[in-house]
Amino acid sequence: VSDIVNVLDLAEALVIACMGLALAILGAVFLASRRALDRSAAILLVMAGIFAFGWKAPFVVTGVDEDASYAAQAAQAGFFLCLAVSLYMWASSLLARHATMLQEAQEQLRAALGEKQMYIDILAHDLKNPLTVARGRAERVAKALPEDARDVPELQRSLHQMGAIVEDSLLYSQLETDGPQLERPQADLAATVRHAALQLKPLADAKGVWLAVYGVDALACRADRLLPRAIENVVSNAIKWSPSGAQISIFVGEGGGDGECEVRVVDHGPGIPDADKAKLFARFQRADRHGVAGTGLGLAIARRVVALHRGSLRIEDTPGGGATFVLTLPAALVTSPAPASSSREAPA
Amino acid sequence: LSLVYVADDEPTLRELVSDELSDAGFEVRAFASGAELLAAAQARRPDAVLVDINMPGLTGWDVRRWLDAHDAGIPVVAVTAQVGPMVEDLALRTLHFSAFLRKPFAMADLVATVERACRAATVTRA
Repeated sequence: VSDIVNVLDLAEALVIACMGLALAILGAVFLASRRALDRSAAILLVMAGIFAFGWKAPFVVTGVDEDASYAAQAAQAGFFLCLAVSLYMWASSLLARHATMLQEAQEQLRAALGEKQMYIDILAHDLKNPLTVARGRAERVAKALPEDARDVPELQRSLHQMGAIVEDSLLYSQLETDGPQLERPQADLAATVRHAALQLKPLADAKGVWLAVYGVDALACRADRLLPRAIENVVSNAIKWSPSGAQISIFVGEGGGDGECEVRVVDHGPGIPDADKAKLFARFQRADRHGVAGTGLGLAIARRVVALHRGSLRIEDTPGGGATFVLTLPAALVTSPAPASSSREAPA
Repeated sequence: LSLVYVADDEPTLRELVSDELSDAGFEVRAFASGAELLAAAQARRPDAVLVDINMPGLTGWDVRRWLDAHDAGIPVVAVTAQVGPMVEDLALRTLHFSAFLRKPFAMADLVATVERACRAATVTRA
């Protein structure tokens, strides 16, 4: 029995010693080629091989039980340590390589997206010259025509709409890709809303819709110059959907949250079914069942601009029918009213 | 009759602007490049200049810089197809263009802008 055990021990020792040699040679090959492993992992592999060889080879040669020798025990420990560290380093270098590959793929994707945006930009940019010429010529022709001629005004309206589409596509593409570097100087939200309402008065008048702004006289917030655009888009959307003779009420005030600013645009149009609410802000989404014109980008732009201000834009139902758009700017952006515009308490 | 120099590499746009400004009572000379405009400006001083910012060769910025260095009194109106507030800021605040027109612009805006620029220059000179 002891002979068999001895033979088995010898075989095991022989296998481990040979494996040690093989590991050392493998490590040396890796070290020479430096392809699959990094340098220190290959050196450690060579060392692990040498330790394995040193651990078992004396037993193979002399037949002395290796467990009694401190040198053999040290070699055993060295083998496991070097092997473990080498494997760890190998695994982490493999992971790092995959991370690099992933990063490269991501950069390629980003470059492809950038190229796509550039294409949109160039397209929109190049459309502007012929648009300017067409609109300008139409304007000149319209001046020479009798007032009741319908062809040219129709042509002008279409050209105007094309211009808006080009403009919106450019802006949306820019907001989508990286978002412009927004500057947020202190602004008076109430004044901004009033200005937007004033800008849209001709549109509202043409449709026979009343615009009314209610709320505090001065409410300071931090707003980029794109914020008025977002507000205009929301209000013009309300105008589009309001029936003639209806009123759109815009309430400016502090929001429900602590120190929040809020703009509520309340219309009495057809309202928005719950199923459509979520997809309303998606690009090019437009319920055109009522034949209302638009680029389909207005609300998507508004939502994106508000998000860049770290605010939110949501839809509620107007009691009695219609939609209410609630634009909220977060508390952090709201400071005390600007002294110049806090006219509420000022003597007349 | 105020003399206005116009530079745009796009011939149809150049013609449109010339026609409209001529009808509005300006004496207009149109050029296909910034270099041609500057050569003409050396021969005869215009009352106002209208340049496209993005032109091959000398850009609108270059024309503005050259005029700044040689005759700072001439109002220069920038025309661009670019979007975003950055361009406008750069044009008006940093490069001191007198005014800024974004394509596509209305003919009434074109005439009003050039008239304003000419008037402002006259007031400054007086």
